[in-house]
Amino acid sequence: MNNIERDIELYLDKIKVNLICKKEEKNRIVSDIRESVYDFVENNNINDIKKVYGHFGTPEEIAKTYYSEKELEEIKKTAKKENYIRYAIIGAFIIFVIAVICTAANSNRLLKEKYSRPRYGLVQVYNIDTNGTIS
Amino acid sequence: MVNVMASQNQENFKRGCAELIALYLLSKEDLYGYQICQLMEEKSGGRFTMLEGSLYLILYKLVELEYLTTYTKLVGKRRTRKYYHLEESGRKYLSEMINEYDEISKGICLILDREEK
Repeated sequence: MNNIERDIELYLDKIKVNLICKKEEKNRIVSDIRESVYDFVENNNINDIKKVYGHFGTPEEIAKTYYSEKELEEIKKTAKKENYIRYAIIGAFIIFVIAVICTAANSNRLLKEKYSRPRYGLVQVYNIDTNGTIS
Repeated sequence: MVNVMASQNQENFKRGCAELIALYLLSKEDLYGYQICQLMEEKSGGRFTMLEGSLYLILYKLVELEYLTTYTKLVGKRRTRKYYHLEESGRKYLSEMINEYDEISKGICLILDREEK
């Protein structure tokens, strides 16, 4: 991979980060832009990424062209909601795991206590003599 | 401020026309995204330029509506190119759009006191 290709891949990564949509959609958009960028670079013998920025715009500008401002607001709101739900699920899971660990530790402690306690009971002693009789 | 508004208006106007132009170009032959942008610029004498991002949005919508289909071709050893093909339903939609465009442009010419050519 030469310098310009590396710069293009970095540029595409930045576009991907700026896009607010599902993974498949991101991949589709970036793959289409990749095609166009490479066509532009090859057709015009370009080896400076600044020219790509100049022709296609910054990653932020490109991401913006995919959404109207209203859509962008809606998407951000939905993303926020989804994030809250995600955090709530992760939080609940962590609490559940902690609860399981605590319960396991507690029952382990109880078992240890139970078996380490001295035991008292009656012991019957039998005596067997040389004739084999038990007394 | 006036310049900013004018460029925004131009951008909105372009977006409205880009669908018609892209469909028209695709009615001649199958094309890929970058080629469509280049042809728009070339055929308009540099007057009609579009950001690829805006064009792809239009193409995605047309694909979803099944007016366009896509196929990929291998270019060189690794790269692929996505070509857009205009379907029969797309051709009908294009002829409707052209009729609408003619009617609207006639109306605008009348309002602006311009002679129709």
